[in-house]
Amino acid sequence: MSKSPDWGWCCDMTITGLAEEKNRLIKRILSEMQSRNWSEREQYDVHLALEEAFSNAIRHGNASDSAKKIQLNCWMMEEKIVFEMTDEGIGFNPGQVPDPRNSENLLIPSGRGLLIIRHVMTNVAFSPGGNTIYMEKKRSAPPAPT
Amino acid sequence: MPPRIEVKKQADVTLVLCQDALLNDELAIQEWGDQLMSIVENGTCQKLVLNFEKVRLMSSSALRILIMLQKKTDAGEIPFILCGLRDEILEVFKITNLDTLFNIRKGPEEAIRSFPYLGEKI
Repeated sequence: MSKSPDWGWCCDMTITGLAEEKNRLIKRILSEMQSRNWSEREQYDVHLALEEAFSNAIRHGNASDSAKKIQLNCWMMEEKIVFEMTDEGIGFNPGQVPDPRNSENLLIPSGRGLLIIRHVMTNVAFSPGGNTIYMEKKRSAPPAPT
Repeated sequence: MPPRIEVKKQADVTLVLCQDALLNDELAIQEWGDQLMSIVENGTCQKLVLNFEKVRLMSSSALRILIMLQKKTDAGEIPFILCGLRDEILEVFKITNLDTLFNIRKGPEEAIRSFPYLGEKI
């Protein structure tokens, strides 16, 4: 993790599927957001999106294989925060994920993570292979003066 | 396995208070789910209220457990109500349409009051 004069703050981390590693990284990101006066709601949105993205990367991407890694790059600027998360899986086609909101899918236990990420983040995209997710959260209001 | 829930009985209602502020880790969610399922499976639960007032964040993995619990309570004809959901968490239920699947009430008192009389089904 490092300070960048252009991006405010950035990090480049590789972790396994261990919850402790994931939690430590998310805590660090939220702490950086808090110190830059991002709102509690924006911190919650980013927290939830990261949890969902990590869960997808661990369970679906890396098939819960603890030998496989997840790469997270994060760039935090004054007006937005950008994430790029890559797993070691074979990827997927996001267009083929069934819509969990449809009545016939309501009782299917999985498949809601992507929908939640799209709701709480400003922009979401995938690499052509589907094993990298790009997530962007824009600040809703200028940071409060300190 | 640490206790993920606190269980109380009030007449024929089993009141379950979720203890974790963050329902986000797969292992913790699995333990939480196992403890919830055992309540329904032990045969003594007649009506179930699940209180989330301590929970600040709930991932979709926790929703998965709740859907399985809803199926189990439906199969056992056990009325099942969720309550104490913070606005941000309730929003997740709404965007996923799960607010149409679950019976959701504001707090535990309202949940208990909303149960049907004996013999009626929700």
